[in-house]
Amino acid sequence: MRKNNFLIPLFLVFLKINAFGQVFIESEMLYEEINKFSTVTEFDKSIIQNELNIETYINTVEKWQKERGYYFTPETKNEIYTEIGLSIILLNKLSDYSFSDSAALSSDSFIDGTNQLLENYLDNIISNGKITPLVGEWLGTFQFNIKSNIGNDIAVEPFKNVYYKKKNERGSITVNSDVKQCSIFIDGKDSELTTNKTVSVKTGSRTVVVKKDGYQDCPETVEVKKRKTVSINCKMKKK
Amino acid sequence: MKIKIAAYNIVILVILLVVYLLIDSIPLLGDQDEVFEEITAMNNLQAKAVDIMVETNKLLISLSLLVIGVFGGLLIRKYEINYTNSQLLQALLIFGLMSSCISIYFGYRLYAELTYMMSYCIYDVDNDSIVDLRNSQFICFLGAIVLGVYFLINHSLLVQNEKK
Repeated sequence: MRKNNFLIPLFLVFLKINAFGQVFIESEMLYEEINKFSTVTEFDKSIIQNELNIETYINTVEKWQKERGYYFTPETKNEIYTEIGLSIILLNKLSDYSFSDSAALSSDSFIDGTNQLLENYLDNIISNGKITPLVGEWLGTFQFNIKSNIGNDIAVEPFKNVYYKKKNERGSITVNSDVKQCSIFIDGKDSELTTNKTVSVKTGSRTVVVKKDGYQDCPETVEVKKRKTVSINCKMKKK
Repeated sequence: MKIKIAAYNIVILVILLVVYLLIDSIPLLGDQDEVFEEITAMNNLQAKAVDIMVETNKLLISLSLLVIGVFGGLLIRKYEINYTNSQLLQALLIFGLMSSCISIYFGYRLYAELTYMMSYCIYDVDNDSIVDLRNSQFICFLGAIVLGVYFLINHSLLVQNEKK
């Protein structure tokens, strides 16, 4: 017994190492949050309590999406995904409405006046890198806005925090300009590369700005997809 | 039932936690937001640099395997001498084994990073992730060797004492 004891810490640490792309879900935290949902089945709960692989996780989430009517885009699956949003429950109805960040940001008139608040709230979470619970005035304003539009007793709760290790996918952008040796800035950062080159960047939406002294900046936003190349042609104008 | 936990088990736990933090702190190439220039082909010198790195990696992995074999053999044989205080020697062998295994893991990660780099047409062998992995692999291997030397010194001292 004694000689095998050293295997115990080894096992514990290897359980925690996530260097192989293993999905790790904050099971307990998620489970607590999930309990707030009335429509999540016992089956879902049993899945959430265990560590999941990406496929199981995505399938589960897709199932929730179907039940709840919001969606994930295929691109979302490839990012570290922190699902943040608000669960808005209409207490006088049997059904409940909830929306995630993507659904809320893409729906223009779900609840008038609340989208902007939610957008600001989510922006705040993204910029701070952590979830701030809705308290006091914030929550009050949300409830007021929703009540005034729907006219029911409602409960508003920030909901679950799920994340998994992202797939590290890249695509490329060919940045051309009619003026030689212009600097390339990507997402506000100097790439230290010059134009008429192909650069490798992470997938997703990227803002490229081509700059040169004496010329006006040339900004472009492109959607970079895995192993695909998009081209930008900048015509530089003198100041 | 009482479970006795040897002191070195606690040390192993601490070491493994440190190693975990170390592994976690090395940034993956794919995690970085850095923008890389995409190349169509490597020039001769770049290809040579990658070759050297791969060869060194192979050599270190082979030597680490050798160390694992030797240490494992010693640990199983239990040196056929009845030491009065052999726990230190056992611990040295176990730490040496762990160090070698971790070195191999870093070697594997280095391969993975190089493959990632090549698959996306990037050449950046000076990147933090690659340099850190390369250094970690060597330092872990060196650690195993140092522990092995320390084992040999203690072993020979004990053998001398036994003879006396």
